[in-house]
Amino acid sequence: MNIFLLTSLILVISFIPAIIATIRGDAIDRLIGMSLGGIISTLCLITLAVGTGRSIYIDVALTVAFLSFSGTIAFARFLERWL
Amino acid sequence: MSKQRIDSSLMQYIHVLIVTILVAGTWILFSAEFNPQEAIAAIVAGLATGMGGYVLRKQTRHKIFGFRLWLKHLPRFFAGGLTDCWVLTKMLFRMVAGYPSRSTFKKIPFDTGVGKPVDTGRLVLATYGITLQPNSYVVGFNKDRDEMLIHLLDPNHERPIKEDIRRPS
Repeated sequence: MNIFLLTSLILVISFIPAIIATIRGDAIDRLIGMSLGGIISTLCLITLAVGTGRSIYIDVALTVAFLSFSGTIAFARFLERWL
Repeated sequence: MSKQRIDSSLMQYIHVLIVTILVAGTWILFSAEFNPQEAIAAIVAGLATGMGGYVLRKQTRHKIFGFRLWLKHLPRFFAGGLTDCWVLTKMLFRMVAGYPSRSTFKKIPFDTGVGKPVDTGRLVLATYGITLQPNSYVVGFNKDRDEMLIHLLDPNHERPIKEDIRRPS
């Protein structure tokens, strides 16, 4: 296991605070948790891509980053209406 | 913190965990290999999906886990599968033994509607539902006579079509 895989494993563990914030928090906390989860998953997939030398993970990371960004924007827009 | 609050919170964690496991399992299934890298990627994909789904469900107050609703239909699902297997095996043995086939075409009254989206949806549902069953196959619809032509392997095991599919509500 090289340093990049170890980094990705640690990033997976760092999902825990995001999940706790998502489940226990209110609407804004959930939005922040989801955004944090998107960033962590993007970073994790990029480190995996570098660690394994497989470019397919980069594609997945790009897709996750795009969806996470647009999802957060859309969610924030609707949150404005719900609040 | 009350016991009810703890139980509710625990159930939410379990929901996220179930989605994570399902997505991670699907990832590993499609990647067709299991190693630490794939496992990490699968977990990441599962957690991201589980969290996103949870946030959306929570905000829209949509309950996706209707366990009781699904459990109600589960015995019928297995019974239907077993019946289909039995019908097919019986027909296969009849063919191998040299008996004449009992398969037949049948016309069923079916309101094809006036071309509204809901009518198209009913046609598609009926076609899929009937054709996916091994005993029956939708040959086509006669829009002038409001009929559906189906082929049955064994006419004794024909299943009725639900009324709300057969006619517009």
